[in-house]
Amino acid sequence: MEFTKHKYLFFGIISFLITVIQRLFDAVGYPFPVFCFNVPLVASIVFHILYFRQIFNARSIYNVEKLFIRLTKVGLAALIITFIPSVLVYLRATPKLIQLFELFGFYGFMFFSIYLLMGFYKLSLLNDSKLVRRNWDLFLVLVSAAALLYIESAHFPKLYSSFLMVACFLVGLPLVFKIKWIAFINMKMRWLSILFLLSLMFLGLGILQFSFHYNLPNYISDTPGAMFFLIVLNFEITYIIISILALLFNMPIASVTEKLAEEVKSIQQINQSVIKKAPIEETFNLLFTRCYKDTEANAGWMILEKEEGVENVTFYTGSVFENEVAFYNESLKIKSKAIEFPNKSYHYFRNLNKNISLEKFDRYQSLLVFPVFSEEKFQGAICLLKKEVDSFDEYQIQLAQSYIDQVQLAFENQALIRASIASERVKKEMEIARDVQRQLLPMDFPESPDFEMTAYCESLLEVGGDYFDFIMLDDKRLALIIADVSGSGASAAFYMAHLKGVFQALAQLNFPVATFLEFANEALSRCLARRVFITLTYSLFDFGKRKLLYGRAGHTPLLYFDSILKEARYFEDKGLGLGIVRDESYAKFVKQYDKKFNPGDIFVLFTDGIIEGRNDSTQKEYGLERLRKVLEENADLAVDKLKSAILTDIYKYINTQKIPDDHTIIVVKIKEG
Amino acid sequence: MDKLKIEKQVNKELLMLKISGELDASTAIKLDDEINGALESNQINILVDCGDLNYISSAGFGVFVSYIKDLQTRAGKFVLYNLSNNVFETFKILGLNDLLTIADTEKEAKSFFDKI
Repeated sequence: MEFTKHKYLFFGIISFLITVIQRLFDAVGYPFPVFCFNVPLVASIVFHILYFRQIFNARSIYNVEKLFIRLTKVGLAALIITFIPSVLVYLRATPKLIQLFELFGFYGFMFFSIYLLMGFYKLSLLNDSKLVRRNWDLFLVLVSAAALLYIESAHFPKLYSSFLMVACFLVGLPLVFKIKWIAFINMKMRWLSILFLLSLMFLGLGILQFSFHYNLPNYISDTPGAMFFLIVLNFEITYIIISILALLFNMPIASVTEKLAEEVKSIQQINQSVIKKAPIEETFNLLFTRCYKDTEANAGWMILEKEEGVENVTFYTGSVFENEVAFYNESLKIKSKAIEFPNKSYHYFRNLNKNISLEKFDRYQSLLVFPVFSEEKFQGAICLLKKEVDSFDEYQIQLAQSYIDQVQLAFENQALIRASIASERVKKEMEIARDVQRQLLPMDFPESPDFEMTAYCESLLEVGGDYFDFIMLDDKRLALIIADVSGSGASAAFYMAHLKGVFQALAQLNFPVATFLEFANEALSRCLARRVFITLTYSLFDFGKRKLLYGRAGHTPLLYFDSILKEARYFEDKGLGLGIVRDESYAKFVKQYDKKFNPGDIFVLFTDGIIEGRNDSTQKEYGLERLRKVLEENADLAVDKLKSAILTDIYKYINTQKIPDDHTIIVVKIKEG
Repeated sequence: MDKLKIEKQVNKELLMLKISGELDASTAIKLDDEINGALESNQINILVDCGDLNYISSAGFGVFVSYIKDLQTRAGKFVLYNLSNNVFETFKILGLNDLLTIADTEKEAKSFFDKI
């Protein structure tokens, strides 16, 4: 792994070491023929270029500061290495030793110039496109081609170097302007960059100065191969100069961009504060501080309303005194006005002198007031002061307004989320309640040779006040109840559940109908709320005697189909709802009725939801008569089909999707037995 | 627009209420407050004109029902008149026609109080 990563550097160093050995032992002609004697040197250069290109490409995120620090460190090291031969000359060291260190010095020079070139390669690629990368690759190929001139130049046509010169110029020129990285660094880093670039330039010049006069067959001057370094150094110096100029010219704009970035950050901060559910004071303080700073106000204060009507001046800033604030609040009636500002937007007192007599409080002339609302409720106001008349500019006002909008928006979003969570929870609870209530109603109907029976019950809301139930008292007797609690929804559902208890308990006791109703009235009167009452019909079928005993407590009348006369009619009997008269006198109002029946006869019990559905255009109720007719017409059907026929007829009549009330229907048909 | 409108008129011992619109769960409280207020100020003879009452729900009946006992013990009464067929039918089904006095016309309604 490590080797693959650094193989180019390894090859580069080996190639250079071969060059060193060639030079030290003056081995002209070994291991290569004379004309390509410098091949290892060229190889070393190319390998170094490849190596740096590889490592800079690998690290996609590169901090500009870090890059400069590295370049500078390498520059310093190179400076020291290139300086050593001069010291050795001064110390009169042996020529061979001096030559060895001159070769190392040259390596330092080479390393630094290539590293710096590739450093700029990295810089110019920051936030830039693929096209630039291609441009660079072409440039690097051309530069490497120039290095080939180290190999006996006689083998190259004269045009070759001129061509390379022109080509490098043309290809390199656009690259020196790839300085977008400047835009992405902050103010401090810009100044630092200038410093770094200058030091890099001086380091480079120093290194060049030291290594220029080395005695070894000169690689830097006097040889066509030196064209490589000529191009590289020229490019580097140009890049440095252009970068420095750009940095300097960008300084004034930089402060603006920085401010904009700061403002974006402010908005984010405020947003964060709301999202984190920070206490409202905290959010407001933050909002107030941002508004105050970014509008460059001289002073300001904030009114924050904790509870309805309670005014809390919580925060002043700048040089403003409590009595001053009180004076402004009082004389301008800021709070009451803030609520009335059109569109809930800000109000700008350009010249306070015109609005009020400032008397002794004349330090400030312009005042900006921003009301802050959350969920349509006034939360507070932010007031900003400036010394001169009309000295808030449009941009500052818009900026502060945008902060406030942000807060209001965030508040609203939160409220929406809260509300939707709450309603979701209620919905879930109601669904549970609906399931529970469904279980209070019978699902299966008895199979009997004497009768068949079916029922249907649907609530307008999740739960409702309709109830039906039955008990087989023995195999020939059926106790059946249908009831409707007044009102609807959850409260009705509770009484319905209570009623189930009453029915289950009393029906078992085999009371006559009237007694059942009296007891039920007594039991329910104790628990029903003041305006709540229950209507019900209690019926006892005796299939052995073919007789029905029933009592109607204010409930919708019983519908009866006579199979002999082939006609249906309602039983118009007296009876009062439960819970209306809450004492013994109730007995006066109820009575047990009886009715003989025959096979084929049908009894239909229902709640008022069945007959009160209105036609969508005429607004007329479905009514008793229509129900009676549909029963007559469908009396031959089995109970389930008959029930469906009735419901279909109702829906056809009302012509809407839903019957707008709780509705229940029970159908009992007598069989031959 | 209010679904239920109540016009009040005091005539000697009589409180005359004219209710129009729809009397259901959402409007029942309004009528309840009105009657409650009347009973508190000792007006126990209440005449209700239901001429323009288009609809009455079970919650609406609840209002009348809840005062029956109170009025009985205090020797006062409700008289309802001018009921539309629809509304009267519902009163009848509930059995309230035995409990509340229901008259056809204002004159007939007032005569119930003359007897007192």
